[in-house]
Amino acid sequence: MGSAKWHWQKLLRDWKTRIILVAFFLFFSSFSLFYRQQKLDLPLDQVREQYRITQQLFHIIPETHFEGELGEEVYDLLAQQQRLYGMQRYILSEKEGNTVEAMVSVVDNYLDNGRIIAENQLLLWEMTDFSSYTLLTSVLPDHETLQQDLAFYQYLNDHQLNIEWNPYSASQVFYQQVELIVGVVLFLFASLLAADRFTQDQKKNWSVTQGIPISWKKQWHQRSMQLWLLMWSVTVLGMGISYAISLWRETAGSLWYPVAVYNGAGIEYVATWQYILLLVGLGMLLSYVILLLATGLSWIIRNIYLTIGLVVGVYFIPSIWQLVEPFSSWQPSLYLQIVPVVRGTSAEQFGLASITSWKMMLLLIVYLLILEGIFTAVFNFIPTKTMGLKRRRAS
Amino acid sequence: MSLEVKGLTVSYEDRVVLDNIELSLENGQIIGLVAPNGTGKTSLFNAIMRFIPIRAGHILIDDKEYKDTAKDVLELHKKITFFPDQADLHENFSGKEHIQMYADIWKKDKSKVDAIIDRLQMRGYVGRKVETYSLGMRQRLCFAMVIAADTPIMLMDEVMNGLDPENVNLVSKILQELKREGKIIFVSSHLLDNLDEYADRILFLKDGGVHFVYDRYEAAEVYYKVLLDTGQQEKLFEKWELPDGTIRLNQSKLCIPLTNYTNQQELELFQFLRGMNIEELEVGSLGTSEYYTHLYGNSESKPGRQLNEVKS
Repeated sequence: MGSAKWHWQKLLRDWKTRIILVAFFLFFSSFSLFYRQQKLDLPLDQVREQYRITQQLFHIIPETHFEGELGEEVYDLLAQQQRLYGMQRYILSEKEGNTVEAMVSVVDNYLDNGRIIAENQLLLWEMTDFSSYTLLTSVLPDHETLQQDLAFYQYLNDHQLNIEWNPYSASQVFYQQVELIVGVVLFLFASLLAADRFTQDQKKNWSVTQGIPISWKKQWHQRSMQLWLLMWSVTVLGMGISYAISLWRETAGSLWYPVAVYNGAGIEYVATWQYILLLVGLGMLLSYVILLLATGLSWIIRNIYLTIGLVVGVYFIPSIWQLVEPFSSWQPSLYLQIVPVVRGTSAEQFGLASITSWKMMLLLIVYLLILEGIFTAVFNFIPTKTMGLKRRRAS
Repeated sequence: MSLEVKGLTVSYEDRVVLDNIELSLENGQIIGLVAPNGTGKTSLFNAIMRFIPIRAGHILIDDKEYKDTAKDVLELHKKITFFPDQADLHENFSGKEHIQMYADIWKKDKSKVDAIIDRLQMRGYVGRKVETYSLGMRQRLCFAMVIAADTPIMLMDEVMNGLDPENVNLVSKILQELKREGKIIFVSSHLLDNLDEYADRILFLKDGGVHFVYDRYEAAEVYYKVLLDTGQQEKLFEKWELPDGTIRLNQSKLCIPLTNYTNQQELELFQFLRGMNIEELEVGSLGTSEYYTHLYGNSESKPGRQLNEVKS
């Protein structure tokens, strides 16, 4: 049994730990209720806006520009776009899926329409001789976005999925919640839990805990792992309850629904459940790193507020590289924020295409090794009863 | 098993607290450690445990040196327990849980916990949270924890602190039992007469070093130990030439060595003292409290012999 059982006992009887766990549990489990209070752009509204923009183009572009073979071709394409947007608008408003059952003969499939819209937009990009080309293309999505749209519709088609008209559906809220959890919340949660794990012993129970024949390093691992288990038990349970509430209050959505992730070469779509698993997996790895750091710092610093401040501050380290140009995609400090790395915004922001999820996994393991090295050295010091560490003298 | 401390020097910045301490403790021994507050008793224990850095010196168990590496310190802590401070107990744990914790961590065996509780007569309160305990209850609990750890060497700092006389006797008895089991026990205490009941040797710390060692089993000089008021003392000094090595403790207690007296002289002195109607007359060697008063208190020796010459 050894010391682990007793560390558990101390941990679970600590009121601070209990309160933090309950607070985060309530926050996670009620997330879907809070999320519903947000005002989101509905897909229907987005399509309406596209319809309106296309209609405006007819008014803004001079009629003379639509003359001639090229002008007529643009005119026809825009007219088709407007008709398609109109149908998309109708399909979404009926909330039945990709088609409207009663109108199958009149209304096309949402996915086919969407694909045609994107293809038309690509064609419009090619009509460089059109007189109002600049005006026309100013309202078009860029090539990359259009390619992503095509891939998106292809994915839906391959997996026989309906377009999601409801951004509050259970699956949509679920992944939004996971994105929130693996961000700064992860750092807050871990640092609040771990920032006094050793401090309490050293300040309140010094002589009872100093001479036990278990290495500091082993205790460090044990305590961090216990916090990790508690943290993720609360998180998974909270997420589960939040998801269940979503299922009860909203449409289910689909856990197969595509989410765009960055793979180093470009955007690809993965199922929502795959995306969630990826985020949770990376979050678990990152949270263990944070817990090791916070628990280790609590051995050195013995001031809970300073430890929390330092650990949460780590989350913002990548911001430094917005001021100073990063020199390599192998810099561990670029991999402290999960969602931007997975989504590709880090790669775009820092101008380093090879900032990828798999590299993040490797570098989190590197973080673990670095922490092991640092704290192996730190635990060779002596924690004094008052404050600070003393160097062992060679004798 | 043996514990040896060689040339141990501890300093807090420039202030040397312990200077070149030499100790050797063998199986089945209780060593008392005596000194006024702030003279380095706890520092000595902390240094042996490597809780504080040492400037110089070596700590050996069974002739194997335990250096300042994390590995050696860990091994050291498997062999030595340090008496916890009662203020450091976990307030929201029960006494029994504390004892189980130490038994579990050191021995991975909790089978003796109940026996320890009964032996220390803690059954009535051991299930309650520590936050409800009195000082004496906490102190007994700390003692029980060290027994539960069951290491071959035990460092007991201020072990009798806060105990009532009955519990002092109880703990003293258990210390003797542990000694018979072969433990090496190093006890610091301010109950000096109590130390004479169970300690084999008593070390007196002074000026950073072991100033004097009182070995209770060595043949010791016999004294007349008498309590005299000033008038009686003047009368005695007037009528009797006291031998070198006579010690006056706290103005009123005289310790007169008998080594150089013949039986006849001893008898005459005895009769003289009785004739003065003195308050107390005791015959025997000096005890820990007398050595303590002589070393740290208000005392003076008749020239020609110092205390450290008496026993060194």
